[in-house]
Amino acid sequence: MKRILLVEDSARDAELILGALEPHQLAGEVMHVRDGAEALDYLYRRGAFASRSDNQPILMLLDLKLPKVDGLEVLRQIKGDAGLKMIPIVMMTSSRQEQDLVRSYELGVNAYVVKPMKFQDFVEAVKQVSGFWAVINEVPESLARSESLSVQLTSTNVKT
Amino acid sequence: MPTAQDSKAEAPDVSPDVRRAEALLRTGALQSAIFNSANFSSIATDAKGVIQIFNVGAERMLGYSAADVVNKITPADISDPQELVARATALSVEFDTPITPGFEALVFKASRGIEDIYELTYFRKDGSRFPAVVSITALRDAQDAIIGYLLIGTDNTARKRAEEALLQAGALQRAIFNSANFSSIATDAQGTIQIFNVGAERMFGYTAAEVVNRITAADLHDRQEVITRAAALSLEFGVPIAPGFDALVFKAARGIEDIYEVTKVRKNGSRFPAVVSVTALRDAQNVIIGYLLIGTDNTARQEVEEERKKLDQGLRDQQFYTRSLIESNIDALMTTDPRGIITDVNKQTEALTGCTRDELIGAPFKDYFTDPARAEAGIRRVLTEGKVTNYELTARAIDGRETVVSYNATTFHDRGRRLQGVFAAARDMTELKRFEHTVRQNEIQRERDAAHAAELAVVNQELEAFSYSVSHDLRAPLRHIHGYVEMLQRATDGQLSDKAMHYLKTITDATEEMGQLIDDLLAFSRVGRAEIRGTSIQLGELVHDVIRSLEMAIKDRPIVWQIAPLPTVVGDAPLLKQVLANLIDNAVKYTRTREPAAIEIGCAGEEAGRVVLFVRDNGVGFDMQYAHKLFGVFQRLHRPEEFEGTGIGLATVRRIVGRHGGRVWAQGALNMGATFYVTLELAPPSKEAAA
Repeated sequence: MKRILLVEDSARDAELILGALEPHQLAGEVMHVRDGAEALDYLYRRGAFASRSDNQPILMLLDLKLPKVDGLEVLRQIKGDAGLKMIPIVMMTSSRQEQDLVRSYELGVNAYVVKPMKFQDFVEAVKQVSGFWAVINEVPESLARSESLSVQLTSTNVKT
Repeated sequence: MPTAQDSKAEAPDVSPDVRRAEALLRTGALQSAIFNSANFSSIATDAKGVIQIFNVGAERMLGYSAADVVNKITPADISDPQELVARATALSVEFDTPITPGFEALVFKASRGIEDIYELTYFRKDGSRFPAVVSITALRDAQDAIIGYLLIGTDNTARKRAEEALLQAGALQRAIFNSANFSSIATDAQGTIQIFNVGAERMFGYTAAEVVNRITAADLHDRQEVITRAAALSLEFGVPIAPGFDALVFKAARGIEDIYEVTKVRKNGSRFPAVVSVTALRDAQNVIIGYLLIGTDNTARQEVEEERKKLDQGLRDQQFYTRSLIESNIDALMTTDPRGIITDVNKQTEALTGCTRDELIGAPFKDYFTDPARAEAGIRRVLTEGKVTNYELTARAIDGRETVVSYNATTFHDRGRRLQGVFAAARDMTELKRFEHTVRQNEIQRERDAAHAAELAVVNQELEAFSYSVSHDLRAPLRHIHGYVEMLQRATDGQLSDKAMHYLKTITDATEEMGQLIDDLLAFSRVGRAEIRGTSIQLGELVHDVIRSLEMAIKDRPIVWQIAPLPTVVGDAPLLKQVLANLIDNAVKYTRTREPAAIEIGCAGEEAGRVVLFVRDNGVGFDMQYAHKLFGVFQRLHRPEEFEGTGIGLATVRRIVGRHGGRVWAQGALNMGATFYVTLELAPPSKEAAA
């Protein structure tokens, strides 16, 4: 049962994000995929994820620049899908480019975070974003099903 | 003395003498004038023809005294008996009754109440004869019974001479004499009119009877003209000439043919111009017995001449107008005959060819072009097709100068629709060609510009992609270095030596610096490419925004701010904010060693319509000899250990201000603070600002 879908092609960034989430016991909730295509396969339960039976994530941390299918395209598809569009998506990107921000918001992104240079700031940002969306924010029943929103903070496994 | 009316009504038995005199009186003033005139012979007879009255004129003309003839002879006795016989015979035939060739023959018509004027030849007492015109009137009593006859005669010698002269002069003159279109006036030697023909009557409005023997020909002339003529002749001939009839006939009298223009005066006083020919009439001894003045009314001719003058003037005006149209045409115009020989040109054609009109007319059209064959073909085409349009030729002037011209030409015809030649108009295409060339050049330039702009757009896109890549990809490894150092510190958790910790800290600092450098470079790069969106900006608010954003960094610093009221300017708000942020940031940074720091922001007047904004600090300042380096990229006047910085901030300031059309400069001295100036466009005064 993964609560957070992390779409990040950079293994280092992924490790840093998980490292940032670890002290807050959120890392075990994270499902990490490496590109947009994988992310879509995961959400649509196809390809390598055809047999996936767990719930849809309650949060997506989406990098903008991704191999194969880029972040904006993933965002567009999910926000255009009635069954998935309620999943909160946070863009986490190095880009501060205005057009990326505008495009993301046009496509219905829920938050846009520029990865800070300083590790401490980065950790803080990841923690706050994830904490808010994964812990504080309420999602509709249809998305969360019967699962309790209480967070299990034990797992440190990172599935790649 | 009883009046004529009285005598008619109340005195039936007065003597015949008295009645005759009364009858004479009744014939009126003219007759009485004639009766008393020495120029008329007036002879009154009784009913049988015996002379009763023989006036002075008769005495003078015939050489008899009244006593010689009264109650002694009849007028028939002094008339040519041959004529009497001839007249009697003629009258006998005419009236179909025998008439005796005596007095009866003279008065037969008058006795029948027929007005009778005829010519006869009188015999003088001395046996000489002279022609006379005699008017015969029957004298009647109150009962209308004839009591006598009145024969009024004029000596017809002058007239006879004139007629003879005219006869001698031939048919033309005769025709003239008899024509109503010529006034023929014969005078005696003194100028007294003897003959006044129908033409004269018509022209002057007098009847012959009114003027013959009564006035001279001079009386029919403009008085002033006669005086002028007399004066002119006096001068010409060196003798005094009286301003009268003499002046009219002076030349003719001397045998000089004389035809002159005069103004004649009609009976009603109106005037008309006439041409008069004067001829002297001479007797067998060549003595002048009179003059013949033949005149034509010149009014019509003068009118015709006036009309012709007007027509000529009209024609000249028309020609001038037509010519001026041709000459003022901007095109070079020419006409050629059907063989292509130039028949006319205008000035523009002279200019085009460098030849004069005289040189051009008569020359072949084709000679004035670089391609004569094509020129000739053009003419042929006009002749076969009736016209050509936009036929391009290159004219070559005599000096070799070439002009591209476009011909429009048509054939032209006379009123009889006969082909006259070709009318051709050549428009100088030089300007058009130049214009077209310019247009082409402009198009090429525009295409180049467009291509250039497209290239620029591509370059910009590449730059965009590059900076995107830089911001995304270059920063990522830095973040990773930074992050892994942190994680390493956390993983080792105080087991590292101080030295190792110092190394790790240095790595962290270096990555942070590089991150800053990347951000600044990206910002600088964006400034160069960003579109400037000009809006009204209140500088004061912008300054306070910037200072507020620095709050955290300066919260422990003693800084004395002195901010003057600032104007509203026009510019791109985010970019101008960056300018102020960089300048204020610098001021804050370089006053770090001052307690208190003093930062002043204000305006230093205007320059070329722009407000000069300054930011002054009391910081470490700079040496003016390095001032030129302040605004260069990566140029720094301080070591990083003294003051951190990337050396891009002021370069960005200069670039932003430059892109707003302004300029930046700085003044300072080492340890004496620095002042940075930027010029910004003032917003046009609005009602809001005024209020």
